[in-house]
Amino acid sequence: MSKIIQFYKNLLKVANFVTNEDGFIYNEFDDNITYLTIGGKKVLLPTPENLKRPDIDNYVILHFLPENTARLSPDIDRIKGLINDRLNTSVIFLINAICGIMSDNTAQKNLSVEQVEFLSNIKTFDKTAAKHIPTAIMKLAHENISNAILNIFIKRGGTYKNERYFRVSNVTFPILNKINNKELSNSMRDKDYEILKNIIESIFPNCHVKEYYNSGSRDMNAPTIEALLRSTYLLASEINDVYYLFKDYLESIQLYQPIDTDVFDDMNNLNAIIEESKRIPNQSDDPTFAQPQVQANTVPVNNNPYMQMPQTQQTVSPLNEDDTVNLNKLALANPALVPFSGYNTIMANPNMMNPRANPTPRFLANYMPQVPVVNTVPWMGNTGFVNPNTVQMQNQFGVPVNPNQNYQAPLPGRSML
Amino acid sequence: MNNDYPSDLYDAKVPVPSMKGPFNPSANEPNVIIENLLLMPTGTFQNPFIRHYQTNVNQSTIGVLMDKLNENPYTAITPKFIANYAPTLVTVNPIGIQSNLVPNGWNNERLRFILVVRIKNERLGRNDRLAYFQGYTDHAGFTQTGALDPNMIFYINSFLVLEEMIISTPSGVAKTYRQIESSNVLPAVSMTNPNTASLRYIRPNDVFQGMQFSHITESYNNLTVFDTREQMNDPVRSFKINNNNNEYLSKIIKNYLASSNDIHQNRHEYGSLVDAVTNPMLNVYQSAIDDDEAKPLVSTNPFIKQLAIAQGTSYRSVTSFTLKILSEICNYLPNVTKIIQPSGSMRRSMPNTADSEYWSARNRETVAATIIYNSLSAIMFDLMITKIRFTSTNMTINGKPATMIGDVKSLIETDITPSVQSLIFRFENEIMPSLTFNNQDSYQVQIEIDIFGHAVINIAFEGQPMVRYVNPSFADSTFSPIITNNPETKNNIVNDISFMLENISSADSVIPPVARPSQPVQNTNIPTQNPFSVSSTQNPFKIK
Repeated sequence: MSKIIQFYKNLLKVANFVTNEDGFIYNEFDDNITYLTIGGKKVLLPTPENLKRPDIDNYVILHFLPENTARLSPDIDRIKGLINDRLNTSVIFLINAICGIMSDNTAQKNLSVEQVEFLSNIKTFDKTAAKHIPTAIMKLAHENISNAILNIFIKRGGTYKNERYFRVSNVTFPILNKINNKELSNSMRDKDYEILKNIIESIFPNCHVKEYYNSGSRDMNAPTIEALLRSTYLLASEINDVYYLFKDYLESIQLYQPIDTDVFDDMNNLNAIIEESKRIPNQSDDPTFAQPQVQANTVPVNNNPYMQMPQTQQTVSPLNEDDTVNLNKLALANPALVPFSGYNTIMANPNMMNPRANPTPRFLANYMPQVPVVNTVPWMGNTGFVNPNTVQMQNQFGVPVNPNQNYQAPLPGRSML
Repeated sequence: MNNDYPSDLYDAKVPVPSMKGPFNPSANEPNVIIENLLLMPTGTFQNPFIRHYQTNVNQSTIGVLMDKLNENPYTAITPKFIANYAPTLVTVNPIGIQSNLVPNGWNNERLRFILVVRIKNERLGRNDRLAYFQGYTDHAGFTQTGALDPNMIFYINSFLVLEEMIISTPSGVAKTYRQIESSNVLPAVSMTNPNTASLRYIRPNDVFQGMQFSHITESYNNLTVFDTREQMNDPVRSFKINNNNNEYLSKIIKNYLASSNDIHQNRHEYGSLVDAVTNPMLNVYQSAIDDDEAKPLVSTNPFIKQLAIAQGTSYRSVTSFTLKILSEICNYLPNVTKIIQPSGSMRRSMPNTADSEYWSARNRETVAATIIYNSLSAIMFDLMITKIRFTSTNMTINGKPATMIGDVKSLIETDITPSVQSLIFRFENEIMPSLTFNNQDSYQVQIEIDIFGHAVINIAFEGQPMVRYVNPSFADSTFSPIITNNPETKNNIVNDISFMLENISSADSVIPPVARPSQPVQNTNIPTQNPFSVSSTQNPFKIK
């Protein structure tokens, strides 16, 4: 199982997450360890030992391959978010570093020819820009990091270079729009906007070329991951190029690491990885996640599922006799009432439906008025809680109906004997 | 506006007991005779986990299926076909939910029972039926002297109905049996009960019901709609074969194709032509929902009907009863009741919580053991084999699976050799290939299943050490793969299966469904001799 585990490790390394030998995934920054969690549960790699943990309910296991393409996987969405965050923080760091070099006279003395060539793309610069640009960028980062400079978006069934693909990743540069509209910060001068634009164009020389950083995938098992990683590769290699250009200066700051590229080598062996991944059951459908309505751990003998007694009296009682009740609203607000009508029907909210605009489907027309919901409970007869004469009975279209017309008595129970 | 009530609820002919005199249901319907009530204490078990079906839909799983359907339009979509070409399309979810549907938990002993009921048919030319109700009690309420707690609650887990036939053979008359139905009894879903409020079922007809529902909400711009059909206040049945994942999927595909075929051919019977043309899918789904499985238990099972009458309060608690209520139906109950008191050696061989693996793990072995138990027990019910013990492996010289049978027992007294052969064939060619990617991976299993008792599954993949799983099969409706604890998972499964069906029905061979002629198609351009027929060229109604 080593290939698939290695793949996940490398994938997480792109997003600057590392793993320990127990398969925990975390981010280490200044000796602060932050674990990757989903819904408050720590995320684990799908190692054989982790799959057998007795306390597995407290963790989430990361394993989404082969993808279920019928719906969007939340796991892949999260991975995409992490990668977006990582790319944006890298670019922001580079912009700050370039501003630092441009304003630092001692650093400029040791520049190489290539570095000078790169920096000459940024035509003008001054000390004021070195203050304005980082503050404006950091403000953006605090607002929404994954959308600050660039963003990878994955489309299902899109076109890329005039051909259809299962998945297309779409790379946009939202910051370029903001620069054009000059909406970054009030303190930014026109000159600062121009400098920032030049910096971004020199990091991503093809950012104005249509669909240059986009990509598509026709992989049968992992189209989303492949499209995402292809675009990530194009962007990360541009970022890493700049990193290696200014490596000496950046290493002196000792905070920044280049984007890890091991996973892009793994993508050549994607088929072998998928074959291995099929041997581990897919863990992306977690039924404990979507909130169940009620969680109960033990069943008392008196309250077991097979012995259910009707408890409608308590639920009906809040009604006042004089109220004119919209029965459908009542039933929607308190769905527990509906099953006791004894009919299996679909109930629609009349206020949201205009019968003239949409012809009703056939079986909605057979739909019974909601009379028995309130004034009778099938096995108890007339409960007397609501006087049917004072309640205006409505059918599903809001038309008043006479409750006594066509009313059939429900099936007899013991109380009617 | 049509104010009529749906009439099918009143079609269930529930006898109304007379108002006079003591209430004695057995006097009204004497045709239900309890033949035998067998009771036996159980061991203790690891807590079973509900692992509902999981759908893995992508191009590699659907594509192969579509290619095969395109190659041969007349392919029968059998379970074996699914197992060979789409083995991972429907599996069980590795993430289980702890099943809390059994009272008093699994660390306590309880009794399991088999209740044999003879249902007499007084109509001419029809044979008696034998119903085997099987289940468990809430506690072990018995003494060594054989006295039983009259308030002990009996829960029906599943039932099997056989028809007893007398046929004449060259050597005289002989008795044979025919299976009518084998089903799990699932608990009722009620909003008022916190333990079952979030339960949802994903039987094939529930899946179609979900599709119909989402179809309606989409056509009304996703308006707020509440589907009361999900709240099944009566206990429902699920056919045993639903537990076999390959059979489940093949049943869904077959139902879908058959009902769309049906609708297109007989559209005049399904309402106005306008409905069928503008919104044909509603009727397709409705036709697939109208299954035998959807019928209420009370109206179709005479014994359960009797229980309902005897309990009297409502029809809600029909799948559980006490000895008090049972003796109202049957005053000779002590004569037919038998308790099997386990001896010392028997007691030592009963399952114990400590001697088996947890069901909580999410690895391949747990999933495989779940699928093997679900599928095998479904097939065993189908073949009326009650108990089997065998070992099987494909770690042989030629790589083909080899199976050795230890012991087989059947419910009926006939030659069961063909049944056992069929079981082993399906195990080797249907269940295991879908778990081992057509025998690419080696496996080794030792299996012992008693469908009324417990199941022991020892399993190993790729030469790893064997893991022992033990399941209480006398209560398998509480951890059936068609139960989910979460309304959203039902929606996910419905969406996936609907996506899959759209793809499959768009395969060249399958669409349009009416284009599957049962006879060779005639050339319609040749004018026929019948003077009353109008050929297409002479059709006066044709718009030019």
